[in-house]
Amino acid sequence: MIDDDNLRLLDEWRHGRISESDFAILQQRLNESAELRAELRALADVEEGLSSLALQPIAIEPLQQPKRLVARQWLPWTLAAAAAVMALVGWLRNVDGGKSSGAPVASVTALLVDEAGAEFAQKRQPGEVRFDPGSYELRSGTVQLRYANGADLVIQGPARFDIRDEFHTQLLSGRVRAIVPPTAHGFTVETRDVTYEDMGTEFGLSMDATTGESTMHVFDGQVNLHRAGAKEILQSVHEGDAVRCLDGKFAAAPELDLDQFPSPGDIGFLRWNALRSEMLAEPHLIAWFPFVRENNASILTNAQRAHGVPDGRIAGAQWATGRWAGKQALLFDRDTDFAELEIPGEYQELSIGVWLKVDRFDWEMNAILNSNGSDSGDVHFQMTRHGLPRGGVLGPEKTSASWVGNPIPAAKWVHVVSVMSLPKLQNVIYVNGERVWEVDVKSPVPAITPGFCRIGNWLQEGLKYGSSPRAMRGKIDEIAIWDRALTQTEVRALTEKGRPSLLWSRDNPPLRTPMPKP
Amino acid sequence: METTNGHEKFIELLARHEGVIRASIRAVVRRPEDVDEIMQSVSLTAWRRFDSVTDVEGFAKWACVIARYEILKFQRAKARDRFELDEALMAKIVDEGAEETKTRSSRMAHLQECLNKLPELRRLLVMQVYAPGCSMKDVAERMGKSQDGLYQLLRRIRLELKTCVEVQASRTDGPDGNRGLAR
Repeated sequence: MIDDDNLRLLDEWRHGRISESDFAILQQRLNESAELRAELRALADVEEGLSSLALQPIAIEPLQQPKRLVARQWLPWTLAAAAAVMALVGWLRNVDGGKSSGAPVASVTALLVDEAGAEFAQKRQPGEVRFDPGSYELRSGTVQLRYANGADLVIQGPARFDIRDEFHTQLLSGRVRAIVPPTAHGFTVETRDVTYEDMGTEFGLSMDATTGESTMHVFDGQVNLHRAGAKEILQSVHEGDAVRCLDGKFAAAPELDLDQFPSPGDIGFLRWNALRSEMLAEPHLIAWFPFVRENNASILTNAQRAHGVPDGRIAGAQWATGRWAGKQALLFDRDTDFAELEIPGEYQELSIGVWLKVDRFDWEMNAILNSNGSDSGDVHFQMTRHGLPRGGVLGPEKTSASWVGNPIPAAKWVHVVSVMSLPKLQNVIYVNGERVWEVDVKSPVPAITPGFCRIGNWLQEGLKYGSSPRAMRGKIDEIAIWDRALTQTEVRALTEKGRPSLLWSRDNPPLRTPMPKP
Repeated sequence: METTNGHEKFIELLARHEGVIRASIRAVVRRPEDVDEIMQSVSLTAWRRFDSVTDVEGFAKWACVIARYEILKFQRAKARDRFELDEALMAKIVDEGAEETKTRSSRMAHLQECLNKLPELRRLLVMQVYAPGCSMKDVAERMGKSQDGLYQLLRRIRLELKTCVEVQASRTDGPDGNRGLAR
């Protein structure tokens, strides 16, 4: 039994009311008594439980509104994991529901699910990716918030906004695009003079803090306008229409500039564009083909000019859409479609990273990027009919070769990286950051010498002897080449940075048939 | 477990055990902001190391062990508070707590029930004081009470609640040799 004096000491210490002499006594007693330590934990359990319950909507109206909810730093999600979180928001609510069915779960107002170059002002920033009710200032970049009700808000910086709850956000300045599913009907964005209530679907809103003018374009559906703080509907605006409001008066809106209102799908492309300088600053990157169509559409530009790798030449392959709407790719569809590169020089290590989306695996071997020959030091990088990647540097005698992971699926953007290291006597191919192909060799060749290479179709000598083509059916929208062996961690980071979308998963299905022998 | 399922499993486990993990920290760290910060580090470390978890039943205990290291790391990094517990004592309290996670979850699960047994005004008071952003000073002023008087009242309420959850937990869960409560 814990006596009153010990209970007093524990409580006074926990609440900052203890004297130094009492604290010394308490420490000594805690050291001596397991029972007292257990009591301390029991009190902590009660207080933690109370804090959690107080975070949830309950039947008790607080006597006063909190000044600003203190963000509980719930989870330091990676942005990728945030997608899974939002998918689980409904589940989390069911788990707890404010009842005593288990340890309470703090409710989520909104989460950051994607961003490109986002910088928030100090003290006006989210807790990692969690937005609780409060004030925020996005200084630059673009963010996508997903509210617990399912609404998405894409905010382009600079912007200032206050989140009141999952249905009410005030835009003080900046531009937003709201995408509102049926679960979030009534989602409102307030400005100084007008409240914009989405009746489902999508609109863009800009707010000029200097003049107080707001402009709203409805991309789809209907938006109701209310005077700020009033319920009465002033006007309903429908798909394709726009309205401008200044000092409570409406006027015709200026012409829509869609670039001002990026959609969630644009954020990945913005992020990828922002990576350009980071990519080019890596001293071991010897070539980077971002697959941007030039005026001369037959040139495949190498954006890394410092290492003497020339631009490539496109033959047959067609320009198409890449991972994002604004991103270009090359489509390899016919046996005669290819692009040719030259990678001059000799290397001890080489890594080749490719983003690709395969339509079909038509041949025993489907080419990604191969040296034009089959000589010692040449590089081969291709996929089997099962989508299993294989390749590496030609020449050295293998001690083992095996597939250890899931194949490249068709119809999905996939990041495939071939890492060759002569000093380590190893070739590895990663698919979305997972090891899939491993080769150990007995003794190295003197150097890796890719030389002239073809992307998408191999100029194989075998054709002369009647073997099948090795054409690729699908798109490639990025190739990067380093003169060192990337680590798995680095490969995974690149995969994550280039992920096509929020909902894209790194995971690929396993092979449905027994794994073939190489 | 680094897959979508791994994400989901991690989220599920952390959501289920977050209360107990935070309570472990709270037992030895007094400032709520510090608890938040440490919990953040625990979540991050646990997420990074989740691949090594083979026994999901032991997740809470595993996370409490991570919490112990994160608490010590946090306390070493910041200026020492003269009312901070000795490191060895702090570690002992957290380590013992890691062995009681089931009991602690059970206690916390019964809290709402016990809270509902309180008279309405007391329940209101507790929720006021523990609501984020509310200070005891504000609540005391609003209630027309002295801070000292309010503190004494809250102390009694906390003890009542603690006793209640222990009773409820023992009724529901039966004797638990793991409880660490020699009462």
